[in-house]
Amino acid sequence: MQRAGSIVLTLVLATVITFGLQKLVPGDPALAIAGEDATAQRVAEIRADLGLDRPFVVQYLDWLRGAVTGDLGTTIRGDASVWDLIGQRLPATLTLAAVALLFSIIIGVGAGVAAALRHGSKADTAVTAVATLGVAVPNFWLGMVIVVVFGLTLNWLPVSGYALPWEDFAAWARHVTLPAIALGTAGAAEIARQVRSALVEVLRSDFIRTHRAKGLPQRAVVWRHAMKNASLPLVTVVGLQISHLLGGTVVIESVFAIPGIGSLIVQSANQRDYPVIQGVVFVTALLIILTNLAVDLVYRYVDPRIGVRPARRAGLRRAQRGVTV
Amino acid sequence: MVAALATACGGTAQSDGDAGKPAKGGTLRVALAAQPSSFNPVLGNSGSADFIVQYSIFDTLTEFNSETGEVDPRLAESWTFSDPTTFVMTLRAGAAFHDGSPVDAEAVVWFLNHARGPEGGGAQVDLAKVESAEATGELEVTVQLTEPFTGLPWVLSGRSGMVMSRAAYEKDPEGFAQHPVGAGPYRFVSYKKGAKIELERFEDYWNPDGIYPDAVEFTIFQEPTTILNAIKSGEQNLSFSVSPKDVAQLESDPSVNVTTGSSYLLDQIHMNRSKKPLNDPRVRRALSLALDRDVFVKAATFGLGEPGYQFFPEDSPAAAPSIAVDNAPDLDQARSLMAEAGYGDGVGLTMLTQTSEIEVRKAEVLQAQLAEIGVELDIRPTELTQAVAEMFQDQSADLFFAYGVSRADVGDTINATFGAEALYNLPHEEHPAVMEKLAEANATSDIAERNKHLQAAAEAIADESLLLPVAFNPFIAVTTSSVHGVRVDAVLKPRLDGIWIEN
Amino acid sequence: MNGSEAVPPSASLPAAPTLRVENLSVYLRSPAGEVQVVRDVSFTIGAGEAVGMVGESGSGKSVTGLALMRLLDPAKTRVEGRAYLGGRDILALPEREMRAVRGREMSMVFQESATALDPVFTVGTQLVETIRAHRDVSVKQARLRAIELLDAVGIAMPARRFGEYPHQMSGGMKQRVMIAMALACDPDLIIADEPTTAVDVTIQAQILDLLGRLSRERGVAILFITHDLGVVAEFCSRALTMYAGEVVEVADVAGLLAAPAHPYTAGLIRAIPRADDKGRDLYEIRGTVPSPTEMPGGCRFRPRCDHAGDVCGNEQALVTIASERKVRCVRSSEIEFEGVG
Repeated sequence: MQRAGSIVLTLVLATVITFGLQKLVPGDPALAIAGEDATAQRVAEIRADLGLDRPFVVQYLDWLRGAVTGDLGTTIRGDASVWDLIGQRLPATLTLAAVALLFSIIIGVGAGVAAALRHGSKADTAVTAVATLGVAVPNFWLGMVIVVVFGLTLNWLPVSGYALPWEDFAAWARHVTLPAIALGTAGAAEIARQVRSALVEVLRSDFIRTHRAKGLPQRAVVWRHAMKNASLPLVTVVGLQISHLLGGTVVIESVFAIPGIGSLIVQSANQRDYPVIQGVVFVTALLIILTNLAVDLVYRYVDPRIGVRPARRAGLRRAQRGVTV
Repeated sequence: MVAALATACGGTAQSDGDAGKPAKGGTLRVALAAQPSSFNPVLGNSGSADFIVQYSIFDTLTEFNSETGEVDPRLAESWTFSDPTTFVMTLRAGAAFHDGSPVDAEAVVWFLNHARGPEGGGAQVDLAKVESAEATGELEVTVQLTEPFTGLPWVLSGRSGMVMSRAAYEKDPEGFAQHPVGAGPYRFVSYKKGAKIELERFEDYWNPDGIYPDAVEFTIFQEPTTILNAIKSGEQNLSFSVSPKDVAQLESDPSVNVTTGSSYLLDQIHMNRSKKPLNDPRVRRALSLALDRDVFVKAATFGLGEPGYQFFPEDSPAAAPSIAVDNAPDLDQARSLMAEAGYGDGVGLTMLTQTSEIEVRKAEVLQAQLAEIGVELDIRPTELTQAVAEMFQDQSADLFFAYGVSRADVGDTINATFGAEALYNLPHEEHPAVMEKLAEANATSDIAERNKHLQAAAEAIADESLLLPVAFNPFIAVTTSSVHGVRVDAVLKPRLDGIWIEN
Repeated sequence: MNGSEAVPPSASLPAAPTLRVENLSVYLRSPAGEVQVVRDVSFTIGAGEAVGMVGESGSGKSVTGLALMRLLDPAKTRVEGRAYLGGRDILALPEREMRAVRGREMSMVFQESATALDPVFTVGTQLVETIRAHRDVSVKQARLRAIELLDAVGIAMPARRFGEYPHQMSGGMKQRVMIAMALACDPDLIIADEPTTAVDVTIQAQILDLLGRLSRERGVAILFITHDLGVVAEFCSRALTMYAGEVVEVADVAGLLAAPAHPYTAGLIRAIPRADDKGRDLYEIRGTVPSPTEMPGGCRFRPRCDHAGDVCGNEQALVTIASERKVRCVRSSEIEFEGVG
């Protein structure tokens, strides 16, 4: 019940803030619609048509009334329903983000474990250095570099566009690879750092010594016991990565010309298409809330000791501590 | 790769080399830098992306000729002004909409009335001087005007001449923009909003010559770099949205063809003439004299495009030869004008510009040049819609460096820039001298006479330095090496006619 | 050095000892070079025998235990010497074979049961995987065996406890689980490192009782590492006193407590709290155990010793002073210890 209340509050806050920001940023959707034909009168007419001349609160409540009944309205030009538009774009974003996340986890966990097991060795130093770099590299820059290398120079993979896996799997696989790497690298680096520091800490624990003393093989000690113990910060960082990935798609979808909700929000912002921006923020906020719920559920599974809320905080603390290590 | 630089505005660049004879077939994949504002032509806001797509779906009554600056027949075979307020046009026989209905006088009359009516959007402005339109024969349309307006044939080459199918519109007025039906060379297949538009060749098009590809796909990009990459990798094969900074590099790439030319699209400094110091014509004149436009073109746009000394390009029929085109800037005179106006010690001005790299680069060149006469420019890169609001609505900046309006009808361009209601006109009041000349131009159906009046309007603009012309934007088209037949379009609203793909 | 002479004559035991440690030395590697933390430790433990290893923390007891289990990180430590268990030198076994020895032939009960159990697995799972690591049995069989073990170490409602996580258990119960885990595969040797430190006196008594019973019933040899001579007195038959990485005294427990031969042992005895101590300050040996990098020459205990003389500046050997008794103190025969006996 308390959880439901906080979800509603989050959604309302996210949408109020977006709504407010749209009003604060200068630039009038009526101007965007009028284009070259803009005359003061025509702009005023369009504003009236769109209801932009009404008070802020009235506009927001009007939008909210629609949203709670599942109606996100239409684009500001009225030529498409916002739900349809998001429905068209969301699959590309979700499939891209999923592959990027998978890439982050596989590379991040692999590198993090390798470094932790060789704690203090040259391999560890290398992983730590590359991960530090990886976290710092902007994903659009990385995107452009891999486009030049793998797309233009080696000609292995396409540099623009997208396909959906259930429409054309081979085309999807070719189109998703480069953007997923560009999108997932920062996450891989972050996960590697978190896994490494968490695992180093866990491997020093008394119970790991107990497992060794029992005669368990190294494989079981590391992957079964150490990893499960280190997975609290891992789950936390993966949860955070999902939010970052959704944010990162804004840039990466533009760089790779992928028709997802990331590029949709860029287009909509340029055109001051408030209802679409609002709708995308709403859906994204919902996705992030669902992610957090899922993360909390995974916490329960991973760590039996602590209740849901303290677990999340502990995880965050460990994740944050990991950052400074 | 052969890239030709058409120096004359409207010149045609040949980039075909010895590719052989045009052949039908293939899919033309066009990379757009923005999504069309609407597929309903009369609702569009006249951006380039609108036209590139709409010209394929909707045939126009007339066609602007970039080489002559005049208009050629298209769906209208011929026309005449029987008197300055009566326009009679004869339609071509045999043209049909994609839904099979004929393009006859009745269809055109319905369209013109629709376009200027309450559902007409931006086209209402274009056709404001139309009093009535009626079918005076099966293929003859007579348009009565409220006042002389000989710019009408030019207007009919744009969105106000993109005849829509009445049957399709009336069946579903709301949905028309999602399923547009016109009489153009390609029919609409599908649109994923903001992502991709698919068209296929309309087999019953009245003039199949010059319509080569089987299909056209428009893909919408956000990043200019991605467009370049997509062309280089062959994923897209045509784009009109390439920055001048990338042209030299592309010209050395054998897998790419580049076509360049100049256009009517003027990069200009909009000035807030309603406030100090720019309400003083001497200051505006001084700014103009301080600019070295040749250097600007070389430094800012990589030698592409043309220096702009007046409102129209020099080879436009509306350009006034009387406007002294002194290529060298006159800094001494500029400084003394500034001193005369009381700004001998210099003055600081804020200038909005768009955020792209090339626009900021241009602004920086201007900043350096204006510094010579003591004008200190504070450049504020601002996203377009926001900049328009800040400059013309909030009036919170002195200058706004941007391209202006580019219409086939130069009179239309003047109207959109200096008309009493034009948003881009600061102060928001009609400039009597300019609009008077425009009215005179529209009153005569004689082309030469009309051009003389337009030249007079250009002079009036220059006399008071109502705006600060800087340079005419280049036309740039980039294709993969297998695509041929791209022509320069002087208003940067190119048609795909004549473009073909080598097998 | 002279450690090898310290091996007690095997004739005194009826059979070969379960564990025979010879000249065990442990070095810590560091960028500055190696530092010796355990020096020439030798001793034996017979089947069913409990040997106490006493000393303050830092004296090298735990390191000795871990070195025998081969649980020290080879990247950071180096171990010398021999340790025979079941006829094989376990210090020389390849890691893979050693893995089969750990938990099977020898196991270890750690000090901190609070942290020594894996917090995110049930105790049942941890027991089952121990059994299945060494015995080819089904999960179901292993489960029955685990519940049996829990029962054997005195845990009530073992089937229910089987499915609980460590955090749901009390400290004493966790220690019992540790012991159950150590017993899982009927080892010959259990190294118990301060197994009762973290629990209260009642539980301590129960656990000692349990260990003693298991040792007697199953013939398990126990190395009982502790700083608490009182516990040794109750539980062990023989004891070694460790100081600063060296064995300083070896004796049967009764003899050790009645007449310690080394001033350090005497100090430890004096520090045992007694009933008549009420109102008096508890005795403490002054100073602290020296760090391995700052070992004094000669007798390592000299700086803290009340009886130190000039002779103590010489290197001290572990010398036999009676049957089953050795001491590393040249003055031991001259000193009368206060507060002992």
